[in-house]
Amino acid sequence: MKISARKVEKICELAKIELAEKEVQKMSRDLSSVLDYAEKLEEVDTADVEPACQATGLKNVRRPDKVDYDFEKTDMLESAPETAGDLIKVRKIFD
Amino acid sequence: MLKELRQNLDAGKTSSQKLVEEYFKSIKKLDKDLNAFISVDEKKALKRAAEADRTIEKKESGALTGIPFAAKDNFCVKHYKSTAGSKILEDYEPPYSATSIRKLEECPLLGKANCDEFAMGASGENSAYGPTKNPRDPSRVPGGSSSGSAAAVAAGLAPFALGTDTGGSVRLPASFCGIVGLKPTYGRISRYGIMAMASSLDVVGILADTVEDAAIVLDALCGPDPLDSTTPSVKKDDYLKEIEKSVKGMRIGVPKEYLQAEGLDDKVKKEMSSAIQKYKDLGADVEEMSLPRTGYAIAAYYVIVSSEVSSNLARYDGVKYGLRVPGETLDQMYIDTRTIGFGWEAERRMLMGTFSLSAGYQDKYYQKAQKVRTLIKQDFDKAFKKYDVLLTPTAPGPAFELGEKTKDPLSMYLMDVFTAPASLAGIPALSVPAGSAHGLPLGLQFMAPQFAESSILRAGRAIEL
Repeated sequence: MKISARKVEKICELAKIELAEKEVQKMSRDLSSVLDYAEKLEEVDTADVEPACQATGLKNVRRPDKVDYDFEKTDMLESAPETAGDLIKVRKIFD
Repeated sequence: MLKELRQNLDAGKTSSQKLVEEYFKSIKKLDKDLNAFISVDEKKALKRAAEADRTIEKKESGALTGIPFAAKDNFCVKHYKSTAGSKILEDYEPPYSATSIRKLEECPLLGKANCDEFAMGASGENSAYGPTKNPRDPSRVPGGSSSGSAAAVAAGLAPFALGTDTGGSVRLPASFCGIVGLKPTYGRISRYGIMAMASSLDVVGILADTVEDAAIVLDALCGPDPLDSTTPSVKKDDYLKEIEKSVKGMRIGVPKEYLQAEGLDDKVKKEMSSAIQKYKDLGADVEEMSLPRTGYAIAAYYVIVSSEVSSNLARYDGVKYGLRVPGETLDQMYIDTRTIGFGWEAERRMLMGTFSLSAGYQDKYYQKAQKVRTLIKQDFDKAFKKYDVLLTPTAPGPAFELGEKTKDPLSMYLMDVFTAPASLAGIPALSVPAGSAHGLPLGLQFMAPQFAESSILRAGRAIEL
């Protein structure tokens, strides 16, 4: 399947990535070649086959809802790019 | 080798501090060229070694107390730079450590090993910190994505190393560097604190000099973890005892699809034939069999991986940790941070995944790939009714040259052709060095049913002897 440059730009928007014009062309070629290869899957008859999302067979694994980690608040804040007091600072979300 | 280190430590012939000093001597001498490590910290390692030496003196040592190791850079280590090979985490020091790192808290950590960005690659060339060289031939790749972990062990810069394996990232570099690489069953070792790439496939893996060493480390790391809901409570075997057992009567299947694969090196075929003969001589029942959907594994694998990558890597947005490139608006901050922070392969997989999960294409790609995954798993289930272990090559050939496959993503993806199927099925697989081609090491791969690590370790050990 061919992924056009326009399509690449649209996906970039969704994934929040910006590509230069030359890169868009290259990405279009790269993605098209990988998706062409993925077309192979069409050859396999998968009627009545359940999709596999995981390999453990585990279902609804739960644990008690109690705080159980040893993070220090100061450590967490230290790894944040920008802070204000005890808070992580970001640009305003609403105009 | 780890057993010998243990004996020497316990007998007082050496100390953990001496070992750390020796390994750092080698690291300082060799790693400038090899680039196996992204960061090292001798002071921290020596401090941990001093603590271990006190434990050893009190005769309270466990199997690995005081033995140094290296960890792939996608393992979170508290207050230790952990970049996953990405610029987006260039200065990131996690506030906590991965469960597997905590289980090795009596082992001095020599450093964080280089890897393809967020474990995405088959050659080690996708690291933002430069490629790792293959210690057997520096013009060649060490294999990826656990490139630094494998190179460090192969070059004698660490006695063992932790890696991660999503589609072959421990087994392929083990094969290319001539060491042992173990990918345990999905869920056998906790992934808490590992930077997620493709969550339905990622496992913690082990790189070591010998099968016995891999068994010792597996024993130390495996088991359920309340912090990782994908770790079932399945009893572990006595791996060290199991590997001593003979392979006599072991039923070994050799899937013909693996031997008919395109581009398979003649030397690999030859190595397979002599391995088959060796197992027959040892009294195993070896026969050719079929895993009919093998040829579809890579296609299914890359659709699934890319889809999961696009979701997992969405968290790197410049808000809570890692790189932030300030922008005029919040949206621009996201875009600039991600565009500057991520390399080409990470971007390619995120875009591929965003596409394959988008409206109108999800059924055609993602759902379809998951269904094919079911069929591949069924192939294995059926095979393991008849066979204890499956034997295949680990890779189609030996390590390739740096730069040889970077232009064509598909040819790089196809390096995982023999390793991806076990990942899709969630079964354990082991790569053991066997023979060479053009002066470079080759590896054989052993696969077994879920949680039957004992079988592959035993079979692997037999070929090693």
